Amino acid sequence: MADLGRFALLAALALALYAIAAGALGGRARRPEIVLSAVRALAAAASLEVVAGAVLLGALGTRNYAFQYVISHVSDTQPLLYNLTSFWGGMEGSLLLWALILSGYTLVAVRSLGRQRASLVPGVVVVCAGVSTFFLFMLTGVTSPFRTTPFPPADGRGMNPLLLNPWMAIHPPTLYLGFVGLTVPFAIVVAALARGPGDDAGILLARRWMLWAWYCLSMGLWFGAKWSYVVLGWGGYWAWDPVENAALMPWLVATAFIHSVMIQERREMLTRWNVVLVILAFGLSIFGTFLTRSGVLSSIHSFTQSPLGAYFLAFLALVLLAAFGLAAWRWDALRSRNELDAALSRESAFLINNVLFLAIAFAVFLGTVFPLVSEVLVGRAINVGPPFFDHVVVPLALALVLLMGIGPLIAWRRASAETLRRNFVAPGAAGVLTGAALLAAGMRAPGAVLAFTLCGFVAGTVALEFVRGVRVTYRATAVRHAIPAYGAALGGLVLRNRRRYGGYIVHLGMLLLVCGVAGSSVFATQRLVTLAPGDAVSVGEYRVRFDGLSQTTRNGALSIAARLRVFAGRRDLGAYDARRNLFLTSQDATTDVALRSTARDDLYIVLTGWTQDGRAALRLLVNPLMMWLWAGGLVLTLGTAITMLPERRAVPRPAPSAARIEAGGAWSPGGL
Amino acid sequence: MLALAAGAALFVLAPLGRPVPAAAPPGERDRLLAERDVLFRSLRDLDLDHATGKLGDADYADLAARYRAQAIAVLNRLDALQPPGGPA
Repeated sequence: MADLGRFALLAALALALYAIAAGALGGRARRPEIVLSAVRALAAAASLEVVAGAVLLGALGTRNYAFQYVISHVSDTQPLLYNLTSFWGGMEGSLLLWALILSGYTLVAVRSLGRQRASLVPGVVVVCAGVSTFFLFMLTGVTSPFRTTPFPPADGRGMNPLLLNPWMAIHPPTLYLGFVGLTVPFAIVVAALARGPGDDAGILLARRWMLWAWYCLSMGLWFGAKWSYVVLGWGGYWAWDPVENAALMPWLVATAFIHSVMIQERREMLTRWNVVLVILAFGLSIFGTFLTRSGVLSSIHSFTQSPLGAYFLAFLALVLLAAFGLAAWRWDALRSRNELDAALSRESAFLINNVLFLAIAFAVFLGTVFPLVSEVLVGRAINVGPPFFDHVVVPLALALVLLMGIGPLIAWRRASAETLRRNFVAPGAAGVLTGAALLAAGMRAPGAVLAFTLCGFVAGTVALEFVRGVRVTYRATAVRHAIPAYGAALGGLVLRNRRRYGGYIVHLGMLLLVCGVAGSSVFATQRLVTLAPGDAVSVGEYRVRFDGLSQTTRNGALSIAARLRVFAGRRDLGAYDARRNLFLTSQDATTDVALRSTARDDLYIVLTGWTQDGRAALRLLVNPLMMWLWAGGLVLTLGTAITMLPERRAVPRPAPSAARIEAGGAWSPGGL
Repeated sequence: MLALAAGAALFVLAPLGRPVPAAAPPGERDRLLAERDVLFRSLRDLDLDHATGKLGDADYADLAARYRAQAIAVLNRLDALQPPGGPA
């Protein structure tokens, strides 16, 4: 079977190379049959990648230890689900997953572009086939998932036990869906640039793909944070780790693009800026893969020991050089057709928003690569650590929250002082009241008060937008039974203005996230204790009693559990176990946290050690508002789904065939 | 594997033997349709901004007139491009 897998990938590589040549030739000579042949080559390559994927999945599922990949990631005691998800647990499988996702995306993109803007298809085929070629080359020439051994062992090594968790099972593929998703907007932009002047509006078609990639990256980050929180046992969810930063950077750039592309749509402005953002986002997705796969993170010297990093870096350089070169060539044709009408407008708010997102992305980039730069320059890796990121990123992020409240209150093109005053009263009051209430309740941490005040302001803005929109829609509704009519008005408002109100819901999700981050990082309390059976300890408003240790053996792991009873005042909140699992063969250890989550806070207990006489060393944390952070992800999903619902194509009323429409006639946008 | 390769080659090369009719020339019409959709959406947003008090009457009248004029120009150009009896 390994031969079949190898053959399938080699054949897919040959087909991808053919697709590049045929796509370029067919596009240049305007020969649709050659372009169709290129598209078919990509479809055939996708089928062959599916065959290769099936071979690998079959080997993982049947624990075929003739495959070296299976030996490294599967074991007899590892549950079947994790044997299968180890498909993306290692480098070779990840690269194959990347190629598979890219092929799927490419076929969907070609199909939808064929209907919307067929002129871009050849370019998109060439770019996507080019990226596929790189990954297929890596899979066939550098690091194959189908390497075999003539002497298969009786058992495999299995994955790192820390990865045997449902959140980690879905975190990498979600992240890859986002990373790879950035290829399609990149391909669309490159295809539009290659087509030449007049096709720059094709860049707008990248928006929908970017939104999808952005959503997948968001959820990938969210799943990763959840995994870090429940599995690693340190009580946090984000540590500014370079691998986390690698996913955050393209997310930040994609977020900037999602906002700035609206200016291009409405005002035919910022086309150049948007082109740069799309190229940057894709470049950062490759850079992120380079960071995580090259070994460069541990040391610049390990980078030279791994061939992968050099290939990724060369590919990244080629991509950036070619794309920015193409953009420079078309630079004049991409100039804005309009200028800002007024400094006080939504366009201006979006511009500042973009500057802030890019500033954060740059700070994260700088902090991430600083150890590498310092190692090259002074021969010593200097880590900047979380304090650097917190000091630089937090103020910029708070400024973004403020803008999230201001932007929706300002009209496009221009805003008058009077409308601004009127619009800011209610949200401003909501923010001030929130801050005052928190101060009155005794909150004294300035950062937290500021963050919650801003959240109150933004929530006020979103609420005002919904209330006013519903009121306007309600007036136009024939039904006069208050509750159903307001419900219908709300539904109609959201569905008719999906992008706007879906966006507001996404903002609400981000607000929940900000509240969760502020609450858990500023107000977390922690206690480190060693308890004998029957002892109790207080943390926050909880009292935790230790009832003794128990020991079990399961799936090759020795599991030590601290049996706990949790109380709030006199109320018994039930029994909880905090576990430490010791894997006997691999010498790895994992933590099962005792976790009680409510909307107010999380009680988070970790068993850090134990003594022969049955005492337990425990780490107890109370993390406020954690549930808000996780709820933010769900609200964000709802908002994105609404935003991505396809809009009905606007169809104008039929005009008399001979008559031309005259300006100033009785033509109403309301009838569209 | 040989059969797989032969099947793939046949599938990929088949279109080369029979020329595919060229799609309608892209460019102007696509661009106008996209521009039309954006203008319609902008007008709808403008209406909502005005109705919800974000935009004053004078600014609304001025901007709406500009957008309408642009939309009308685009519709006229689309009409001019469109084959007789063809849909918009």
